[in-house]
Amino acid sequence: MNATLRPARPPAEAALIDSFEALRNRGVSPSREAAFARFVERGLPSRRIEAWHYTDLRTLLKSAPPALVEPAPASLAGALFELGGGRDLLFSGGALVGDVSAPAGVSIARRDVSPPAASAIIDEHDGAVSLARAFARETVVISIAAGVDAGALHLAFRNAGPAAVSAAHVVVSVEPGASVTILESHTSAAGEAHLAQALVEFDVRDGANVRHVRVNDLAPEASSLSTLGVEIGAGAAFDTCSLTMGAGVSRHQVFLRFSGENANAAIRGATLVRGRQHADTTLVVTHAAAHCESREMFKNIIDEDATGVFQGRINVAQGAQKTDARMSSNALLLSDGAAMYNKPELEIFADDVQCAHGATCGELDQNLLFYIMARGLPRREAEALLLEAFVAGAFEDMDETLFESLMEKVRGWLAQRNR
Amino acid sequence: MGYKMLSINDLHANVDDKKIIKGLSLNVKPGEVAAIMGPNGAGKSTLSYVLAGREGYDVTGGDVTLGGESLMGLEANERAAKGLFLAFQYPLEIPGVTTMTFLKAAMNAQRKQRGEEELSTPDFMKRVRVAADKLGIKQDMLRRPLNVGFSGGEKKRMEVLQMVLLEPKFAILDETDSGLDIDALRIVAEGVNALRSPDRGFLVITHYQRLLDYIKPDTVHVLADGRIVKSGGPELALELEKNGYRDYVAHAA
Ligand SMILES: Nc1ncnc2c1ncn2[C@@H]1O[C@H](COP(=O)(O)OP(=O)(O)O)[C@@H](O)[C@H]1O
Ligand SMILES: [Mg+2]
Repeated sequence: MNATLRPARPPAEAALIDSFEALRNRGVSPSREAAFARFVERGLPSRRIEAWHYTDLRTLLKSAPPALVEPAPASLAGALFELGGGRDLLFSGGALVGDVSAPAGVSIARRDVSPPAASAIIDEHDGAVSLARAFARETVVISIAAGVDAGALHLAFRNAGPAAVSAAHVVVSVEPGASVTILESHTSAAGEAHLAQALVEFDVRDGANVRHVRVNDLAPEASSLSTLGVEIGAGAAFDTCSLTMGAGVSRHQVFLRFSGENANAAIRGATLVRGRQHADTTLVVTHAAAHCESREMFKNIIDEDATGVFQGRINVAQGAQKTDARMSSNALLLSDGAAMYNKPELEIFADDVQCAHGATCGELDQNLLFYIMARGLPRREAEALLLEAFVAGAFEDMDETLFESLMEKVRGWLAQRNR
Repeated sequence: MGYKMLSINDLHANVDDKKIIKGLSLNVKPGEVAAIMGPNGAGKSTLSYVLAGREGYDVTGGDVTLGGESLMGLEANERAAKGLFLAFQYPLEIPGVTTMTFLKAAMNAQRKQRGEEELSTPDFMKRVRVAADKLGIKQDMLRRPLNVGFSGGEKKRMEVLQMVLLEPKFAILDETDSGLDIDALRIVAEGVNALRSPDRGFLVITHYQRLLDYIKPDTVHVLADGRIVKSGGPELALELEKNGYRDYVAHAA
């Protein structure tokens, strides 16, 4: 027996290492190598790591597909957000494909070598982060010039063709006083076990205004690991909303930091899962500057044997006086097999702040259902009415067209509940 | 006319394995307004829930028919589509669902189950406006989530609005008078009276005689301890007003 033998790597982890090694012959930048080394050292996140306690990738990911060699042909057909006119950026397997025409005041650049992280708030030792940096074949940098209102840009992330592991890396730099809406849609080929990763970083400068919407509509066979990093300057406003319905296993993590005063952020979303899906949303919101306001609001609908996870951590640094942070996570469990883990945390080092969090987990109110049914709605429709209203609570004050396109997705999901 | 609209025949029902309705029989003819009066805890609301088809209210014996068809085993929505309406003693609040959305969903759900066309939006809007005006319900209330933050009286008016719009064959009103001041009571009663017709029946549940000054019943029945213990004409209500329920409460104990 060899005493130095390390425990065998789980199959998915071993496959990811093989996949990366296959890419190496094709040339990989030093920063990707460095990220890969961090991944090899720590391996896939498991329940032993506190931040991944409820999402043990060592057991949830049974295997990993090979690395993507060439992006498969992809199209915008059936896109959730139809903007047209050069405002759609099509990604396939994490790489920008097709025409890239930037509207006035916007520049779009593709870099082989990852620029230094837009923000120091992302945990570079996090397994999902190092894995995404290792597999991202390029970095797409979108810059909005100072004072420009860039309207909406749709980043359509497609995972077409046979199952592959890939990663997209996008950096959005919003100069002072600029405003932009960034819409992300993530889809994948039916029946293919893609491992789709995304790392999106926002540098929101002073007085800028950003709205961000992310829709995970991946096939149930796919797995999704995504990280959003946001640095917010003084007087800026940032609103991110995620809708998670797809992927068998998904983790969406948000690292957000206020670095200037008088800024505000909304971090919100809805998760609707069924079957054996596992969906994790994890937030780390850091108030490092005074007089900032954050609102975190998540709605979860868990049906059949699915599992939902919400972890929300709010850090208030010393000196971040007058911080106003309110976080809530509400879950409705629609079946006996459904499970939800809520873990809100506050860590406060300033004395003059208002912070609150609330987490609930329950079932649909039977009294309400009876009332609605007594007015003539069949049970499933009565449930859908209540569920729709519940989810809509996370999308308040949103642009009306955007709100409607999200609710359309939600209604589609509700209509598919087995009768 | 011997034709029975609502016919309750030796009904027995349990809630959480507790016997609440204990052999109750009652017939209401088309066009008839029947009043049920009784002490608190007699089982009046329970009867209304059993008739409406609430889950957990288990019928252990007897039968209920509407227009000759048994309601037993039908879901609440199926009973509603067959023309049964219950105005709740305590109407529920539905956060996030505007009154308008709710009204439209209810009207169209019933029409769909009956194989009728959905209402066009202008037609729907017009019906709501006309009915709401008559009941003194302001348009801005219709844009708010159903019953959320409404006063007790507003909620009761909203129940009557729903009844007017859904045009049921048979309506049960469970203590619709409670929480109403005298003006609101008059408006609500007018709403009910306007719906009275030879082919529509009503079961008006009340604890006090007061409502019956405005909605004149054809028959009055006393419900105590889960059964009808006395039936008569409008004069029975006046007698109860005078003597209270003590004779019947003693009966129950
Ligand atoms: N969910 C329930 N579980 C057990 N007992 C109940 C329940 N609801 C009502 N009851 C009982 O049934 C009886 C009748 O109640 P109810 O129908 O509300 O009376 P009423 O409307 O005539 O005042 C009361 O004794 C009440 O305590
Ligand atoms: Mg009652």
